[in-house]
Amino acid sequence: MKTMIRLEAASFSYDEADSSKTALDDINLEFCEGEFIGIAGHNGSGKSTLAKLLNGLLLPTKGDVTVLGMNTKNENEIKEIRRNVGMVFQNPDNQMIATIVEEDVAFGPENLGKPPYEIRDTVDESLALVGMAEYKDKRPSQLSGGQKQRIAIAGVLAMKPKCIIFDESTAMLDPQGRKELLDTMHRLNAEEGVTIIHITHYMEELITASRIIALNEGKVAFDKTPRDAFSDLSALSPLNLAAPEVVQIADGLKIAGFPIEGTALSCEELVEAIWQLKQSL
Amino acid sequence: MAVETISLTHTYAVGTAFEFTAIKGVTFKTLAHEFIGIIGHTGSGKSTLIQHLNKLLTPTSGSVIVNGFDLSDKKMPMKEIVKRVGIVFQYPEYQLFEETVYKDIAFGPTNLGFSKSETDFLVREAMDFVSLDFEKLKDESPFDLSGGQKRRVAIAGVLAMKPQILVLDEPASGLDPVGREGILRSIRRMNKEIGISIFLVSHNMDDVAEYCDRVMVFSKGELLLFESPNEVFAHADLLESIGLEVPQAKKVLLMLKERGFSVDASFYTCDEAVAEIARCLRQAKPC
Repeated sequence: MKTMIRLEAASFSYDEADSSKTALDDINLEFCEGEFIGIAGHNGSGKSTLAKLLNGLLLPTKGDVTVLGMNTKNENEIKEIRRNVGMVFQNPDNQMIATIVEEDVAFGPENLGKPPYEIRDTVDESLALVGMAEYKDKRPSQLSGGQKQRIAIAGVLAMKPKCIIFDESTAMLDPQGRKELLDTMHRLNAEEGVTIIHITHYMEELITASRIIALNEGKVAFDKTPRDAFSDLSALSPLNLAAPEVVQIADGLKIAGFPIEGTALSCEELVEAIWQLKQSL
Repeated sequence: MAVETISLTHTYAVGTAFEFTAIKGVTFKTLAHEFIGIIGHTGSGKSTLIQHLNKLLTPTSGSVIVNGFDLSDKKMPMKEIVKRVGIVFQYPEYQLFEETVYKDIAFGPTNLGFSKSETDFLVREAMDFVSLDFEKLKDESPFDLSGGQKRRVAIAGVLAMKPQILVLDEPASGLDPVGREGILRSIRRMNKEIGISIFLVSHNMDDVAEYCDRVMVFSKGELLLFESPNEVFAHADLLESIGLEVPQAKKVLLMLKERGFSVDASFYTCDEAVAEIARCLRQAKPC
């Protein structure tokens, strides 16, 4: 697989004179094209700083970050880097700039100086991809939180990025809005091949990720598949992370003397595993 | 303190093209010292409702009665209402503005006319309740604190006004699991130890299940259910149809039941589910 983003000995400090302000410390990571990467970690573990390093919103104070081979320190390439790596933030209201949905989505390509007919196509296509085509004439204020987040994604998609970073984009949404957003992320990943980097506190949102990277005190605590990450709960608690409830139930049953086979991640898997166990008793 | 609403309706922008009724005919009665959860999808009317509890909004029709006093009574001074009902909005840390943690928390009580020594006591007490170290943090700038600490300072600022009712809009959103539990436990302590009535708006069904005595379910401006968590989560299909969900533990129990497992699916917390499933497996095990 082709490398999308690479971090080499990347560190970041908000104040180099003060070592307590080091947000990221000697990070080495590689994200490949087409991956769905989950990033978890407690408040202050360095997640948001990492996100901002990935498209050059922040530059590493030591080491390098390269996007498709382009170094984020290279000013001539920063525009191209940001076009390729889009970002969706926590509060969609902070990311809306126009008064009509389609104008908001058109903002990016307009700034790239694309011809109007091409912008028209791009906007329609982007809105269709997030399932919001019928809302193109609406005002953002008339939309729900989940719908607004999908408009924010359409605005990013209009730049035709290869990678989208979601920095706690589900935190403010209701259960339905979270589900809509997660479905959209997975569809973009599976059907359009967009690399997804999803930063969240909700571990149950990461059970379908290709891998989970946990940060702690500015370092990578682990980099595992969800199944491996949740097979050992004792490794999670020192990181202030909580396993999905399903995993906790399975763990509770194991402690109660009922060894559930494997690591069930979804309700369906857990029910199946309990069923199997019952048959074998 | 008890809160009562009678046919409470609120319509925004009456008589314009944007006229919108956010809550319709909401009637409920809460008891003193209750811990109430409020759930509902985005736009279901939760925020409109809570702003009526301290008269930030006035009803288009209907009334709000706090501890026997009708808030629409013009003789009731605003200060008295604010003293009784404190609201902590979503992302309250954005409202921090003072130079030091102490000054920020002292702002409310000072404005309510508490003396310097009273205010000092209230600030200490409020910080203690949200687990902030008074000596260590009082002179810090609130802007240098972590997200979870900022949130605590903001909540302490409301708590220092000695409200008898505390309304919190998603107080734990954006916090990691440990920060989340810390905040919710502090809120439970305020409820249990000083008897403050709590209204907790949340999108997190697991938190509602864990902490609340009774839960209000809103959809499209109407109060659909107002029951104990146990009874509310028994309506799994209804909740899902209005864009909410049931706790995962509950879902697992319901799915097991559907497969012919003889579990009691009325439980909804993780520990209860484990105990119940273990009980069934033990029964299935030939002795």
